[in-house]
Amino acid sequence: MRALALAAALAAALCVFDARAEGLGFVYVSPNVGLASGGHAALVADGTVYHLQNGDEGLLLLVREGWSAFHLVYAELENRPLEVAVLDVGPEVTERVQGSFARLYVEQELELARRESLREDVRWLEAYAQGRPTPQLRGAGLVSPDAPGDPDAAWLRALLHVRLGRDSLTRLRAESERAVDTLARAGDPTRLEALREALSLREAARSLDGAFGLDARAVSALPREADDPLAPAERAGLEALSTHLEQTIGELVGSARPDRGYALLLAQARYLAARRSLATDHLVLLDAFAAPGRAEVVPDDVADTVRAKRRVQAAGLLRRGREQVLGAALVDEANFNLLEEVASITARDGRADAAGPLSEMGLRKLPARGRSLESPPLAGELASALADARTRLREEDARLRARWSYDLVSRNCITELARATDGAFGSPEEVERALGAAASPSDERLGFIPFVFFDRVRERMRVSRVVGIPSRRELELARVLRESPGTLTRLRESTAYTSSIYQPLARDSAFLLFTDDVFWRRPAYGAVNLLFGLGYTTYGLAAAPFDRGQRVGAGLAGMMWSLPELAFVNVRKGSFDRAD
Amino acid sequence: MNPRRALLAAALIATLPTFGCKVISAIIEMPSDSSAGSSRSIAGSFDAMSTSSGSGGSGEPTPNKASYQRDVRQYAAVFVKGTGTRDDFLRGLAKIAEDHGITHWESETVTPRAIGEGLRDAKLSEAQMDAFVDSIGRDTPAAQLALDGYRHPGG
Repeated sequence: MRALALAAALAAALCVFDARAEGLGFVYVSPNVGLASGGHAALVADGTVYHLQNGDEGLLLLVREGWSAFHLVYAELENRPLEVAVLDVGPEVTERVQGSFARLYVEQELELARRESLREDVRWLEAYAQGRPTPQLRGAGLVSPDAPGDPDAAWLRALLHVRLGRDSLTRLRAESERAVDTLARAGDPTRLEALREALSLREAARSLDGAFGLDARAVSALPREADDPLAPAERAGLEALSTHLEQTIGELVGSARPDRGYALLLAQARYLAARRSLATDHLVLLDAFAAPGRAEVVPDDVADTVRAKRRVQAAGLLRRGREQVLGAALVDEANFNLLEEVASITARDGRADAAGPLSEMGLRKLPARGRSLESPPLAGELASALADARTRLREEDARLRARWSYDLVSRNCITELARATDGAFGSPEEVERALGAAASPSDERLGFIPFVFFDRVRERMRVSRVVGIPSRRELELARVLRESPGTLTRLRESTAYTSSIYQPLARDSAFLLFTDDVFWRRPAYGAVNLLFGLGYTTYGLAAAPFDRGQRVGAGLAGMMWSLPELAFVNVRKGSFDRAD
Repeated sequence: MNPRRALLAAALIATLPTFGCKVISAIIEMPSDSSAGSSRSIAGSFDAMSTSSGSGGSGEPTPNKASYQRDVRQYAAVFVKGTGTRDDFLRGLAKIAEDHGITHWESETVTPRAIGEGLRDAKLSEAQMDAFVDSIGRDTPAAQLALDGYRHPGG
């Protein structure tokens, strides 16, 4: 009966928040072992979660993702209960706070892009200095100069001649070649970005004018089970996409944007892929994860059943995407990019981890297969230009570190979350009027600790309700007890090695008894876990020559995470490898 | 702070060096099925598509478009206070658009509108805004949208 009530309450809590992910709230994520042991906090606004993570080279970066993906990672896979303090604020306040996080995101993205551009400058100058081919330019590998006169590309060229004039592509080609020559002759090492843009535009013009075909390596190789013939509605969607891309290409040819080379190459490749789809009656999509510098996924060691399940899930998602993007003819660029991403995941056995961290909506990786292009020699003294470029890169690195580097106490996931929230308003009084209290008051010495921060949110800010969201084990335990109530079931589920829900994982540390669902018994369970950890470490010492000390590590960590349990504190909860 | 929380604080402070913010790459290394998170994220975007404009839905922009507009608005407001060139502005805009899966941002009507809103946020005067609009051709649709965004931000 108790289990039934618990299950009902948990399910209700989950549904309540899922239904009302709209609005503004702070999320507290309970701790777990390893890198999650301090707990975590985030802000949720109209279904988008904003939180900060210690990322690229020690920089604290803002991550934006949808609520469902956040819930999956933290509550399901990491098995950490969540609490959401929902704020009683109007939509204008929510929008204002989102604007502040957008500003933070934009500032970070642009500074990171600036550094990446300086890194590219160094790579290019090194290539020039050593007489090597210049690095690959993104997008240039989508089309192939070895396949000139492609019939679809020739049709596109003829169409552009009719719409923009017979000399439009010749003119674009001549202009971009002139720009490349001028920039190379000038030899200004601070204008290499402009040179890359000019080279990219020159390649796009050559490709359009020479009717280059699609490079076969730029396409996602879909497995047979995800390669259904096109439905009539999908064919209509692809026709609409082709028309849309013809217009896009025309507009880009006539545009004054100096950086439009990549956009043109991508639009042309998408057009060729769409035409080939229609010709073969099977969907041809560009590989969204292929790009210069983007590493291919390494094989993982999951079971074949997991692999098969991923494949089925990815194929299902692709079918859904085909229906919603092509079937409904919602073929704008952003929607179509999602379909390309799903195809890229499907082509990799359902694995998306090649694409890096999640972004706000989908992964947002654009097809960008690269190719090294012939470039005229760069005039000037290359050795000193390279030294200067390296200095500029070092200075930019230092600037980035000074502004965004992580610090355990003064600049962490909590302090910046609070600062960005308060930064949405012009003055402390305005913050107080909007939210009830500042998210980062100066009188809280331990405010950088996630649960202290969350306590303060609950106590001082205008919170309308706090919603508890159970971890995966909590939910599963309630289900198991509902289906098979009794002491035996409870006993079975209380240990890591007999549980039907959980499978022991080395990263969770070695432990015997779960302590997240008990309180008064926790110190006793902790003592058992401590002894278990000691025994496991001893066993690990014997096994060390065979497992490179993995079991010793798990045993020692198991002992360490048993210590808080002796003082009634649970950190370790176990985690899961996959979503079911 | 209640006693349980105080105990947790003591335990955590004892293990202070281990409880920093999570490392981004650990998302991939720790709960190994980050693919599931990616798939769920994309599935969420498909859901949003079907409930937004263009498919008999609510008529609201998709979350991706709303977020793009917000980012461009903030970008314009930040950029105008700096010393970047026109080409720098275009490069930055292209970067932000690509984060939303868009390369041909000139065809998105929300782009000039959001720029106008951002210029308003940056407190550009009417005279400065007029000069900006003249520089891109007052009668062009983009200029009109930018002006509308400036005069009716959030509208």
